[in-house]
Amino acid sequence: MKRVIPFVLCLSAACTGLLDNGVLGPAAEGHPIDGDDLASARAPLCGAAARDKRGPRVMRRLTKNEFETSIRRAFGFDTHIYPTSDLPPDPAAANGLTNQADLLLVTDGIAERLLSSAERVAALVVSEEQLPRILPCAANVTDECAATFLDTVGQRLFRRPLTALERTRYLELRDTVAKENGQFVDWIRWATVAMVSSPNMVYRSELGDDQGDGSYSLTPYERATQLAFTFTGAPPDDALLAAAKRGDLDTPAGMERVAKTLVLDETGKVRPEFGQLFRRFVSQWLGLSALGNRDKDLAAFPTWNPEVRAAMGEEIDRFVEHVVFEKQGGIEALLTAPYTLLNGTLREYYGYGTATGAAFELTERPANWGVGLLSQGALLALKSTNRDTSPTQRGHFVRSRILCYEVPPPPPTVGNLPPPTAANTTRERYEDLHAANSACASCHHLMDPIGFAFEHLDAAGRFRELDNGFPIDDSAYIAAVAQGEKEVPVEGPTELASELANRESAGACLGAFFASFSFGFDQQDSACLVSSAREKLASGDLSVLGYFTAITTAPHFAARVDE
Amino acid sequence: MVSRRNFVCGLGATLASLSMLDLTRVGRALAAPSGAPLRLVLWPSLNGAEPQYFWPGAGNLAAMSVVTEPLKAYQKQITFVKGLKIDGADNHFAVRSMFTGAPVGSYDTPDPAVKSLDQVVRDTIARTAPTHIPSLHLGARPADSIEYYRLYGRSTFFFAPSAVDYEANPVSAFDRAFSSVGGVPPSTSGPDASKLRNAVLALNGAELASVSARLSRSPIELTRLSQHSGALTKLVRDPSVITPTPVTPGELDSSPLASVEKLRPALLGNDRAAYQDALYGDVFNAQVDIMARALVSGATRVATLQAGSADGNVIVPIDAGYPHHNTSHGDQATFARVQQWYATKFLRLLRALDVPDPLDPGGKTVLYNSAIVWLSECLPVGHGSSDVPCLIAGNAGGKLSTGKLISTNGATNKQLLKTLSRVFGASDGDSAHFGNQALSELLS
Repeated sequence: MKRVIPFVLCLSAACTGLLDNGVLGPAAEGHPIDGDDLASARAPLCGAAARDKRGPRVMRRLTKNEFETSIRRAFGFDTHIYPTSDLPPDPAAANGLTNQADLLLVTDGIAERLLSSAERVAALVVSEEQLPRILPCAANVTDECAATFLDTVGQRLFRRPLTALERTRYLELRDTVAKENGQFVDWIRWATVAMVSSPNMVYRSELGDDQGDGSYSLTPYERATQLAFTFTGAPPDDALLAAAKRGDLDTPAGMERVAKTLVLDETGKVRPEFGQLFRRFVSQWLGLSALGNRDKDLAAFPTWNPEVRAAMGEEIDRFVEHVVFEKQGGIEALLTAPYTLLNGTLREYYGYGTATGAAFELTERPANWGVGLLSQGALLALKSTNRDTSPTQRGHFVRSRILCYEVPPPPPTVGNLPPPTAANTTRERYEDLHAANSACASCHHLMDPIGFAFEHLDAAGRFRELDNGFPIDDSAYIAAVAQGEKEVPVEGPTELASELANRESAGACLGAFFASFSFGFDQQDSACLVSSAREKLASGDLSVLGYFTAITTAPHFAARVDE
Repeated sequence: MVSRRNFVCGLGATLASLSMLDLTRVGRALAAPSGAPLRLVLWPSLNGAEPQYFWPGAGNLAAMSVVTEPLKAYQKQITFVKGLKIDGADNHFAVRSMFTGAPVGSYDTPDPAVKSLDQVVRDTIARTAPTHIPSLHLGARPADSIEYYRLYGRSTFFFAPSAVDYEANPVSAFDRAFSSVGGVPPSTSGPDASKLRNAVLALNGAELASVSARLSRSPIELTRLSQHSGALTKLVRDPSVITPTPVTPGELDSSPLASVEKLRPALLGNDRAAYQDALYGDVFNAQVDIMARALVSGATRVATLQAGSADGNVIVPIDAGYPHHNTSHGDQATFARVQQWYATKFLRLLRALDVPDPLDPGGKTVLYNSAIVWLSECLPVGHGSSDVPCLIAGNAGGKLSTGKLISTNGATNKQLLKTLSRVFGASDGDSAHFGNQALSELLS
């Protein structure tokens, strides 16, 4: 994996303005990208040597959600019986994803919490209410029952059968418990503690079998685990483990076939587990979790309220799902679809469409309201202040999340923009403060000119004819950042969306984000693991959904190499 | 229902590693062998306040200030510490310096590699009179979203020396500290739990070794597993150090807290919901109440509460609501009112601690036996970290002088940290990173 240097040197020592109200400050983690990586991020092509390369072997610690889901699956608990573990939230990496292997470590504090979580699970397992269900033979106190426990619960927790050595260790623990005057049920308790806190449970093993040439073929059970977590967010069930044992996952085609069954049911509908996982991905990719706390100045936006905000969150989820699931659309559709999905609340708020009540219905956008993902009310409201649009935040979003350019962080001395006056527009304020100051412009020319394209869409997600009483200029441009690249002018959000959709970098970027979400490396490091599939997504030969399952055919999905 | 105390006692050995609810499995005497059992609370006050709004007027301390006006009833038990400078840092990234004394030159500076004051004191207490919870670390919307809960050094204040996790969900915090475990009683007459826990840790260690043996050509993964292995080693404890648990005083009270129960439907198993602005005040109240119960009972003697994050924009619920950081850059009279709202929460804590100390045979209050440190990382307008707002409530068992304003004339936070380390009995060796200068003016 590359460890490189920032590609743009900004001079911004005294700019004014905040990104995401300070959330998007300097990154402590993540991997700045160099020229090569920039090229690979902008275009879907990796160098010949890096195309579809295999990544390193890794032990990925389960996320909090994966850990808790694994517990529920292994013991048949529901969320009422087992609502949560003691694990803390998973920290987001600089790319917003919370499942990145570099950050999911077992520190002193995590080790303690794993142990306390395991002890709580064990207390539940041996309870009078649960044990007869989980291990009906427990009252018999036989060696066979002990073996049954290891063969059922143990296999579910380890996501593979226990090895002979492991069985020996857990049965020796039974001797230890007996020496301490413990009963069979005490062994079940402590064996549960040990298995729940075991590295074989806590980490997703992606180590593989040594092929003798510096490469490692993932075992069938490792493949099953990767498939299950990638497409359901949960460990493999007994059926998938059985499929692994049968050899169903021995070929890329076999894995893709299974992936499709994990994504779609027999009728072709997206399964709820994948749907839930997909929403989590979209939320982290687009940074939507901040929407819940985004309020607007009611003097400027008197009809803004929590119901509208919540409906916008649902709107963007449903829009993306409609394009990706129902239309089987690609990146172009995602960026340029001329419709959205509205309910009665949003119809009233936006002032167009025919939706009534709580149900969301497909609604054509008016001509001047932009198109596709980037004109969604949720994003427009998020990438604004409580009163004003923020061309910087909107441009930064397009740069970083749609094109995968890494924009350097603002300097620590950055402050708020001066308040607006009656004398100028938002655009003029930004041009005065950023474009006219060379120190600021060195970075802001990457963002603000893109953001200007959205100036007809206000801070609360609606169309506006005027800004501060003045006509709006939504001419914009995408600045060149690499040698040989040209500045591309656009006018308004629809033209910007079309321009982005025509750039292979948009599809390549989405592909890199999903690869990062799937493999746990940042999107730069993940990008070349799936070069072929990303190219097809970028060129429109693959739909978004097709791309997601196609990553299973990448060599990395089946094998690893030495670091 | 089984109390958390009984549960944790049944589990055995003290765990020395840390986390936000750093539960020991040992039940030792909750009071110090002699003298009043002291409590320490660290209360970061983010974004500071301009001097005219924070410091009381000379000669008229009783009037307090705009920000601290809600604390007027406790003026005699408060000392204002004026003139402090955060050493080696300024701006919001000083949050990591405030309580560690470590220099942090920018947001990108690596985390301090030393213990913060709470951890120095925590370890001191753990050696002499361990408590159920070595240190309690709580948060009220301590980041702008749950994903950023540890990102960018904006929401990490306490180190041991790695960043200490905090619990931002008061329902989880309460359940982990006080309540039962799924209604399941622990074994009270079974085998020695501490020995079996050690056996489990040894088994897990052997499993780690087996995996590591396959990774000779994967140094990054070996490092990852080595860290895990080291963490397991720290969890292993000698069972012989365990002493019987006294039933009273200090038995944990697992009865419901109204402020926590109010939030239970929304927050049980839903950590994300605790980051909603709309719940900020309620979450804050609940965390204060949890902290107070743990401190009064002696379940812990060290606690921290981080409300908001450095340059975060939690909406403070006064008027129509003010985004904290953005408001700090605006009208300072308004921002002083925002900070005053935090003082009302501080008041809630003081009131809860202003009760007879069940662990003090001398009959003093818990507040008297406490030191509650309000400290800011920088000032709101210029972002400098000199003359930052600071006050201490409580007498630390009579060791601190209160009811006054002292001018330190440019002393650093390290001197404050050193002083408090000594007050709480930490050795100068354990607090060497705070330097060797103390603030004698603070002492009675």
